[in-house]
Amino acid sequence: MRLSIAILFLGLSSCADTVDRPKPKVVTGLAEGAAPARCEAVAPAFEIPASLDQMAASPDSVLALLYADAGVIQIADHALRPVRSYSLAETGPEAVANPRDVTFGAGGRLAVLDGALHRLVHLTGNGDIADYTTLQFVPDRFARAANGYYIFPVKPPTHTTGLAYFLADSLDDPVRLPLEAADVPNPQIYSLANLMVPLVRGRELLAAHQFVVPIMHVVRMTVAGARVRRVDIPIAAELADRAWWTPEPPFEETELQDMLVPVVDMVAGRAGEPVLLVRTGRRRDGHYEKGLMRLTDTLEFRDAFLLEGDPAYIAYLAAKDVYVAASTEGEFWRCTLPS
Amino acid sequence: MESRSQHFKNFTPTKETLVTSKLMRRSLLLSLVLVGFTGLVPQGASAGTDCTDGYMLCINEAAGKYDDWGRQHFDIIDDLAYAECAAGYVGCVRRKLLGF
Repeated sequence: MRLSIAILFLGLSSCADTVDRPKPKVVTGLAEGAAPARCEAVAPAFEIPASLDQMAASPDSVLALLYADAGVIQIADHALRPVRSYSLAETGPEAVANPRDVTFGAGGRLAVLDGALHRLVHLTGNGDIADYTTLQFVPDRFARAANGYYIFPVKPPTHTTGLAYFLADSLDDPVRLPLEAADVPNPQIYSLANLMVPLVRGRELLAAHQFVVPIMHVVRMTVAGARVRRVDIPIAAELADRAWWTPEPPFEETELQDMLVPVVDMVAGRAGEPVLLVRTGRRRDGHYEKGLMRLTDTLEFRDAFLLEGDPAYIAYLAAKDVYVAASTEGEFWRCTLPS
Repeated sequence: MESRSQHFKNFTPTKETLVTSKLMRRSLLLSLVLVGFTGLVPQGASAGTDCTDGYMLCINEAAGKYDDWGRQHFDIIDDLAYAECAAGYVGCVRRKLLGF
């Protein structure tokens, strides 16, 4: 009861000025019109140390799997065979205390975001820290571009921390990008609603809200600065009433499960097209059914394919033309999609 | 590894972090009153409330720092203190939501 009252007051104290809630762009019959993706379950040939927190693919089709609770980054090939494993130190000068995301940087170097020490860290082949950049915010996700990293913080409901930054390889400090955060009243939900799923596609960055808000920011860097436009993310018609919905405080955590998840994860497909891991709008065995939704070059709905299980991450291995889907609990599937 | 409180003390404020909004100040101040100064700590955690419990404990811990150094520097550290706690909360909730 006391907890509920505290959350209620926290919610009321935020008092957002305005809430911009346009009607979502819906796809009618998304699940019914979707064919099953051709998938096979794959048993990894390494021990699963903890829940999976992130998955990234290198240009030469190697996977990096982040198990944050265990402080382990497992490198695996397309068949989920182990290539090598990094054990991250919790303390000391080589510490990566709270790894939140992993990707491959320039030259295939492994890059990790440390949420506790607010750093972007490059690792050596031995797993030591090669170099790092200290950030003035708590980093959550990042994506590699040709000449730097796009970095997305945990966004507090203030103007002091931006929604996105660009850290050029040639600079020491990230530059704030003019992306507009979604205005959501409760401060806890505010940060959740402003978690981003990034995808670098050629010269463009696509940054999609992962929860609550069916909006994607499209960023193009020019000599004059970053040009940003907002695009609606297509969602299943069955989920339309979930768009922008948040539970009224005080709420139970189970109520959060019915918030919109416009993008579970996102990768670039064979031709560079955005491929989104999404909820199809149907339920299966008490869970939301998942699918892969491909977008056109103009970011419109193209087609969708149904997936087995409850994958939370997707990677595309270009050299094998195969998608790898993974659940948080260590299940893996290899999937192919038609051209 | 430095502790969270040590990290706050070592944190060098920039011009940007010195500028905080009334909104954040209001919500965190209220949380200090509700959580930190009244001892409003949730008792026990369950699968249905563990993310929120962790968040409240984190806020409570941050509030404790205001007894000495932090209270005098509230305008400098509140953004980061909130983000630290929010990071744990959203990470916990995200893991639950993505697997559902």
